Amino acid sequence: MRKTFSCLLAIAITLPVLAQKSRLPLSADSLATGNYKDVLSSFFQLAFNKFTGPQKELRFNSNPYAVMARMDTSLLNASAYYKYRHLRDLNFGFAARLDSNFRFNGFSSDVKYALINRRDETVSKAFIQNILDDERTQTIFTINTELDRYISKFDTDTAHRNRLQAEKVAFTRGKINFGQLSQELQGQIKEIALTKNLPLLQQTIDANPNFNLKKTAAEVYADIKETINNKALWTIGLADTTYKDQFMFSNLVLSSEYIKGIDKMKARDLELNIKATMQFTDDSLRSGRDLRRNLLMMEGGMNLVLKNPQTLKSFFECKFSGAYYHNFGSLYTGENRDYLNLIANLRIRVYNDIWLPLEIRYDPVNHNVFGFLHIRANFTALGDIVKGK
Amino acid sequence: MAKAKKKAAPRRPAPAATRATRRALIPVAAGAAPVTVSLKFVSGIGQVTASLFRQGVLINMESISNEGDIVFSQAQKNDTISVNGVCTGQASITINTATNPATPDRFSNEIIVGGYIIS
Repeated sequence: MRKTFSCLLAIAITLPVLAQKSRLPLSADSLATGNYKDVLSSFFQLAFNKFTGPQKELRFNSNPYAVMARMDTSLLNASAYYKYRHLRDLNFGFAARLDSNFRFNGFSSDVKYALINRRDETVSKAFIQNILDDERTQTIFTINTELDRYISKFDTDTAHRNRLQAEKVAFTRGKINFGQLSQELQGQIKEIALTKNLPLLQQTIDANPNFNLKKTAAEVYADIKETINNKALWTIGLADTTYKDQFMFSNLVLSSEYIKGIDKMKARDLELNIKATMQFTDDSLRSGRDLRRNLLMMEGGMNLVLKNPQTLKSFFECKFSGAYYHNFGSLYTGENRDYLNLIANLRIRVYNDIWLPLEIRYDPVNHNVFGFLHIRANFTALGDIVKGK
Repeated sequence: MAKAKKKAAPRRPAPAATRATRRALIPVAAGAAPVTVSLKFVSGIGQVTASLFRQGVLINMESISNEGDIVFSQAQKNDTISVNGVCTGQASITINTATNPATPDRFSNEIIVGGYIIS
């Protein structure tokens, strides 16, 4: 059975890799936090949950747009991409549940919809406008335009013009920095700063003569994207699980989850995470199968995100939360109607979009500690592996 | 049946078109022809402004906020096309004539900065 499971896992991982070989230009949105991607996946996510526990789960999450785009790549073109943006707010997932011997132990599925999703900068016209309005962007555009204007004057001296053009192209593509430019182009940029009244450019050149235009442009983009990453995301969802021997629901869960960045720093972020679920499950005190055991869970926590200050990608996340449970149904022997759990979620980014989350739950009344290890992979990341990035 | 003559619409005064003025000042070579700058955005949206320079003078400038073409109707050899913009996914710029540097030029989730001399 283990062998069969290993084969299934290998196929599940390989299929999307093969899909990537068809060069789907999917967005990696690699600056998003792992916590965010667990709430709403952008394209595809493959998760192997609780693989150290007795109840394992192999889960696939996606959205209708990602599936449609795999069939028809023209849907990735800007007009269709923008038109179908709300389809990307809908996530669906399927999971096979397995016991400790990797035997099939039920099937589960879920749907989730983002009622508020202000984090998708790829379709945000406000994001584009924020970048275009930024003073640093305006300065970069002025340098580019004015250098092109200057170079166009040498239409009769082709050799000189081509030398200037090669230098300018290398500068705008980040291959050389300001200090490596010829005195002529350095002088031109200084003159642009004066004549176009760009104090920011003047200060930058004075403070760092080796400033790199491409790197500066990338920093401006990432900086404004960080602001978007702090915006709110609110999802509602419905999940179900069937019995292993019958296609009948053994469990139904209604959920609502909200995340919002509350602080933005250079090397770390703080994210508020609130979750509520209402679970309808089988009451085993009654004969037969039903959904009469109702359990309310409310969880609130903070996710601390540690980032690389250069790339702004998070590499480690730590979420501390408290969960309150209330049982509306009949109680089992020794069970409390209300109880609390303290939860710590540690996420380590082992590759660009592959996360290793470790969940630790502590029951302060009974002093029990439970630990679950998961693995979550974004298919785009697997595509990057294939391309050797 | 004779139709009533339509009243002639009053002619608008010629706008002070800076573009026309600039064109009058800069000689247009006999080989001037339309040049198309094609913009394609994938997995995101974008906005781009392209400017045409000749001998240090701005001849024409156009913006586009979706995929499509910008056409400079009177472009000629040695003109420079300056391109500024931003894309949230992948973007490609293709100019339908030989340029230095050559196109298509590709950008990914970034501020777009480019300049192309028509050769």
